[in-house]
Amino acid sequence: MPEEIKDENNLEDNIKLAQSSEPEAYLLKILKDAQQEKKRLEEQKIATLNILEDMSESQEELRIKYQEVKIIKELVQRIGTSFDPMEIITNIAKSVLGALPDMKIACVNFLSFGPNNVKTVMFFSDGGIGVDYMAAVKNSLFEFIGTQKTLLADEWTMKEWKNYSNIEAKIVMGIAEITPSLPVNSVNIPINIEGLISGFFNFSSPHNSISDREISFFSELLDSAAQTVVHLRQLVFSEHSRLRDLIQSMTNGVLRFDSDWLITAVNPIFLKMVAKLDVGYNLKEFLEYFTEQQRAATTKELDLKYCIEKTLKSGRPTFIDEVYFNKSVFQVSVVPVHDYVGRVTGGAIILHDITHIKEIDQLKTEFVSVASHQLRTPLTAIKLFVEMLLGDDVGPLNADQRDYLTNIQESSLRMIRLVNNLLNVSRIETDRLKIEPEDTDIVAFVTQAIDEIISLAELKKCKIKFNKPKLDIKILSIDQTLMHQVFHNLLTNAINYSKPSGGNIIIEMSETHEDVIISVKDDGIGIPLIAQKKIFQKFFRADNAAKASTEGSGLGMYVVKMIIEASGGRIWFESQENVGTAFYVAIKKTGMRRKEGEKALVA
Amino acid sequence: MKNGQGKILLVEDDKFISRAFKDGLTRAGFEVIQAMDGVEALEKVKTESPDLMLLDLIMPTKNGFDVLEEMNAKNLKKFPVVILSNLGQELDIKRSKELNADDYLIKSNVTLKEVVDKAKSFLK
Repeated sequence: MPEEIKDENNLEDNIKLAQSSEPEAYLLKILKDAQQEKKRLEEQKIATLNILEDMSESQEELRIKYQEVKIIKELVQRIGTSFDPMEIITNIAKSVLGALPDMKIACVNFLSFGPNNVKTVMFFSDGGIGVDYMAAVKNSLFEFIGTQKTLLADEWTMKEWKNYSNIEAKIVMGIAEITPSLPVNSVNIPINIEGLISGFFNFSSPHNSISDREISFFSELLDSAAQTVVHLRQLVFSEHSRLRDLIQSMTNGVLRFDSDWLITAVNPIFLKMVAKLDVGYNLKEFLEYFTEQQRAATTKELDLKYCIEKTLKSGRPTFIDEVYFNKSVFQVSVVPVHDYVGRVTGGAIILHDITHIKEIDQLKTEFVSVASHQLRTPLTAIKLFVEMLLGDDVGPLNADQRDYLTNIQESSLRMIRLVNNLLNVSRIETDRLKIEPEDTDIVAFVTQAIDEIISLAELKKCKIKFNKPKLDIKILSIDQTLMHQVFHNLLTNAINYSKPSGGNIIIEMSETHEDVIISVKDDGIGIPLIAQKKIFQKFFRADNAAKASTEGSGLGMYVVKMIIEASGGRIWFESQENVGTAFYVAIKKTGMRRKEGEKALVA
Repeated sequence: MKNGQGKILLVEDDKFISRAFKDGLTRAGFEVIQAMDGVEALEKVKTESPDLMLLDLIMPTKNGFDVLEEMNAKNLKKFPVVILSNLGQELDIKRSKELNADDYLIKSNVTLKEVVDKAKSFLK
């Protein structure tokens, strides 16, 4: 308000002046005012410009800050999965070079070693880097190290560090340049991890001076990197101790090893299981002990070394079902252990004590064996009495009596066969079956098996034809009891599953380079397509087979397959419903594979 | 069928099976003495002096192997012994032969006629 008043006064003054008789004074006054006005405007303009300038500067600062934050964030993410000092250093260098391509970076690090344990100064550059440049940086770096009083996270003494001329310089990223150039200036920043200096970085540029803001950025960058590593260590340590607690408290025996076959962890249960107070550090030594102990416990030897090699190579676990050791039975698993990128860094041996399960299994087997024996005794009595009745030993029978007794006899015989089959299955399944191959005239052997079954064939109106082959190999090493069972089952099936009108069964033999193949072909009811997959399953009977012959137990083909496969042979078939079936058995020319065991089959 | 002659000691713990074999063998002309366990068998070896022994293996008191062992040890085996058992394992057969058994039949596999024929072949 006073201004306005003043202005009004001023205006009145001006009018007064204009109306006065002194026009010169009036003009001078106007000029003076105009000059003042111009000055004021000028000042305003400068002020505005200043504000604008400030604004763009803070924009730039914001942009740089944003860039820095982005770099740090990315760096932390990259380090987040690495424990390799070399990888961390490279990541830091890459991050800086990504933002400031002009920069040259050097680093000495106490944690990473070069070849032959020689420390090196590593150089990172986006382009070329000259020998003189490297020498100048090295100088600057080691002079700085010489002034440091903080403890080094290394056994190296300061004295050795001062003798740095012996320390090699190496370009890790970038190319060697011949053109001489020198750093304008450089800045050295220590890498501080958990209060200990574990290395130094040097940042420099051949063109520009390093600004204060760049220095603070580099420090921040290295601090973030160090914090990440510390955090990572804590994380891994707590994870490691958690894992260790877990392993310690497990009821299975666990032994961990690394890819250098060194034992890294073992739990008390494992030591107890292998009867050792300590397993040491050398896995191979432990394996020798293991093999030795195992030899004492069983003839079945497990090549644990091979299993470990296999797992380390394939990255897949290996399971071994039954390992006898130290009066116990174990299930052994060798599992791989992976690092964060999925590389196999070692593995673990896991022992699972199945002694108790085996004992129960043994009891079950014994039960089956005793039960079968007990079942056979009354069946035998029935069979004997019926035989006497049917033999008219106690007087003549009428036709109906004879018919009924025949049914009783057939049923009891079938029951005996079933019990025998069950006994055989239990022997095969418990791996107690022994296989004792002996040299056998194979043609004569098959002929005899056919002769034994000829009466059954005649009963079912079946003709059996044996196309006697001209084989180079005449003598084959087979277990006669087992192979007899195989042919008996194959032939009875061919007869029992013939068509009601009768059938033709053809037995042939051929040989390949490795095998002798025996085939039994019939023109019977065949195996329906949907049943073909299940034909070797225990107790399985195809619908048409059950209809054709009610007698089968569904164990015959199962027993055949088990015998053939246990002795190293192969069995397969071709079949078409209502057309016929052909079974093929291939036995190696080298013979059936011998297997120790306590029991033979019940004939 | 021509009737056989001679005294057979039938050692079998199952009374039904024992009865069946006894009746069958008796009808075939043999004199049959029954023993229901190992101890009784050894007694009757001494008191009855049989011409042939049909011996089961799994029995109460003393099993068939024990009976054979004792007969061998006491020089009581003066007649042929045919094992008549449901045990059909090779090891059992081998052990019986080592203990001087003369033949081996598997009970559930043989017919009465086969047992009679076997007895006849030993007592011709």
